[in-house]
Amino acid sequence: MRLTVQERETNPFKYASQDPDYRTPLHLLPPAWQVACREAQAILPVPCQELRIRVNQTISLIYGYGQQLKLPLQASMNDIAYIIDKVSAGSLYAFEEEMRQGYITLPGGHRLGFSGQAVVKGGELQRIKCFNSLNLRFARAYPGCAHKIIPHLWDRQRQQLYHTLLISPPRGGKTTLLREIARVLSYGSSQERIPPHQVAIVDERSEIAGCYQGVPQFDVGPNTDVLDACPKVSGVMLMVRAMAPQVVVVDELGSSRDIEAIAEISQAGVRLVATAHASDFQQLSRRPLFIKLIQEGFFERYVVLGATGAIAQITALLDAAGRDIMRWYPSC
Amino acid sequence: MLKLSASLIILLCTTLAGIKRAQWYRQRPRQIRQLIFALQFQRSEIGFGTTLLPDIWFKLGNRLSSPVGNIYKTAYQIYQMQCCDTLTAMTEGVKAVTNQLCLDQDEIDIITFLGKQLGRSDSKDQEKYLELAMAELTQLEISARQEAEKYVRLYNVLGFLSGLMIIIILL
Repeated sequence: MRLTVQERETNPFKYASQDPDYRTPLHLLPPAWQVACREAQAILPVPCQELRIRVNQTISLIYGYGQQLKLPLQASMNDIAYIIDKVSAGSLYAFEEEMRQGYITLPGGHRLGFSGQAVVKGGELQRIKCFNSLNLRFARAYPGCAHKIIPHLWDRQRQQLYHTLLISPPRGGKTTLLREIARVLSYGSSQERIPPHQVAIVDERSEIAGCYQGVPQFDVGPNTDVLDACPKVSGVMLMVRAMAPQVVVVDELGSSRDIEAIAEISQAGVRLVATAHASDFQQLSRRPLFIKLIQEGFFERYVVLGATGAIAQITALLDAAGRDIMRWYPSC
Repeated sequence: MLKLSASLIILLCTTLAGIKRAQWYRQRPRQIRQLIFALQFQRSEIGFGTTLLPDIWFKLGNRLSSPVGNIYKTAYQIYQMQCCDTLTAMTEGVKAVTNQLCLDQDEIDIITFLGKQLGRSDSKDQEKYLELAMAELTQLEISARQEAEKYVRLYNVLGFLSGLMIIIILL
């Protein structure tokens, strides 16, 4: 049975971790679909990543690296409306910003992306209505996925973390690895002699900590402060001033304003762990935004992830100039 | 002896029926005020923009005394226990406690109609719906108070007198 409001308020972390309903988002689907999805998940060789729902089309489970399993269920507008109602708990007013962004983060850190008819006012997207497609992305934490990289991100001489950038194409597991790095830094590691750090996560798209109603749904460590759904530019400086972190964690650097925020961090003496889209260092170094950062040697370590279908498969560790420090091969 | 006890029973029954009807008129403005409070509460929670509808119902269910509080308590329970949407939960919640309420069909209709609109649009829209419902309920409360002044004493006396009249006719 689901937790009551009282139980959630007395122990918010119980909400995500102990409530069986929220470990998977299947309870948000129409009852007939839940059974089919559970049965399909049971026969999949790997955990499924997404559930694609399109109006008048059969729904499909995505697993591995883009493989599809079609289910014998056809989605109607009513089914989609039902899911939206369940996801928003019949409270669209509480998800106005999400309606503009095109996705809602769910209890458990899962995410529902949607498309439909856009309502545009003065050239700006106000919200989406008449939903016709949904993409339910299942969130999973992979504790331990950063264990082989963590010792290489710690500068033993200066006793501090290197400014680190994680690079991978989409679906490479950047955010998963980033979350795990934040968690390990927050707890500290006696094995690697890394003390617990005050970590600040600026989670612009609610992906790192997977906050639902402000409460992180993933374990991001006991010394971690999360600023949810805030643009990186304003969020980073806010966190630096307000929470005095030792490490700032941000996802997906992609605009010139993000780079400005990074420049501010370098002045504040705070260490940074961030991610960026690129298939390798060469591709990253061709992106105009990163040319200056690379030339200045701001990031001291680059971690490259491969899009092999495995979660957070680290393939290379590079220094500030992009030279190999270490390389891993998928077969190893 | 038999006649006397039968007369007493008749008198008791009609008096109680009169008191019950008077009680209905006395309770109605109070329950409408509670509904208005519930709508004000929902307006401020929705205006703040973070509290979900079932959570608002949970808070209202605990805050308001029965039977008005039971509307929200039941709607919350139905939503939690069953695979249904908020609209169904609210409709069922109202249906389940209608017998306990001292409200006219007008008030029930306002709440049911509002239930169909709540949560379906952005906060500005929601506030407009709530304000409209509050204005309607305020009007109904004024007329309910006037009716209460008129009918409470009337039904209290009428119950007793009609009993007396029946006894006289039968005797």
